[in-house]
Amino acid sequence: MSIPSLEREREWLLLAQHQRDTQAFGQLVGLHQGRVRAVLRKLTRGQQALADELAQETFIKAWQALPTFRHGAQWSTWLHRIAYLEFLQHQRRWADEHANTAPPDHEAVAAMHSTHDLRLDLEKALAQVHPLENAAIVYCYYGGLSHAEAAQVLDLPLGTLKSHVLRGRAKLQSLLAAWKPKDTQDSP
Amino acid sequence: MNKTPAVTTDPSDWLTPLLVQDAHRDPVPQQDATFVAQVLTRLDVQPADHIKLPMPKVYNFWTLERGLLLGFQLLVVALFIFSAPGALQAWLQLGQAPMNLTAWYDHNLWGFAIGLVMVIYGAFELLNMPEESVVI
Repeated sequence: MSIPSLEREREWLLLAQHQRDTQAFGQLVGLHQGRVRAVLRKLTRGQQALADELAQETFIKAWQALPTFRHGAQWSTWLHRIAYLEFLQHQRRWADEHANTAPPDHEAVAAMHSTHDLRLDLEKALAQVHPLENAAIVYCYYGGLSHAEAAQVLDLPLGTLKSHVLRGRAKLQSLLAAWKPKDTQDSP
Repeated sequence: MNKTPAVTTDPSDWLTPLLVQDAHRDPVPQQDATFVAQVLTRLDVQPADHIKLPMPKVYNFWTLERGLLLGFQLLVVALFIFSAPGALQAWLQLGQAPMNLTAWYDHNLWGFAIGLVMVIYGAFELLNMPEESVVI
């Protein structure tokens, strides 16, 4: 199926917002669910069921808040912002419920996999960087957002977002040094 | 707005291809009718009468521009209030002698008039500025 034009998307948005047209909103959900779920899967470290549940909550809250959406703002950025707040709320709930238990052990997750592949190494490396650096990298590289859009989603100034991306990348480069191609490594 | 893409192509950058490769592995399907149907079903679900759901709270995200404009507006309003007595006096003098040109050149009067225009224009801009809201 071809990607609908921006005009078509705007039309669906207007129908959903002003006429509470659920079919138009369904079209918007279909259009954006892939990115929202992909980012949430990365933020939740591959927990697909949890990510999909958070994504559903995101779209329901977007439906509730749609009358307050102003068209000067970008709809996809607004949606990602709701998804990120939903993820943070889940994190807080989880922390409250498991105050006395240890956080998920990545070694245990690793044991479930037969081979150490890139995904697993990346998951482990991303788990070791600061949560905001992690979120900045996920939105920029997995969500396909620009720095400015990611800054809006994370509610950070643009310069701070860029610093988080740079610091996160530097940490990932040292943690994933084994994945560095031989021809780009410095000669001894 | 800065639209710089986050992913750049630098030949010495070996991390970006890894991240991009990982992002494209096991992608979420771009078309998922089941997921859409689940969301739409939940939109139609009305809460049972005995269950009282909390009213959603709407949080507005104030942009930097909105904050700066509002701060400037408050400053103009404060100056406006301070200059009001002088402007009133100048206006009364003008009322007594409308043909007296020196009364027209009173800085209090013009300052007040310019301040009034700025307050009205600022309020107009504030009302038309886009804002983002989220229901929690």
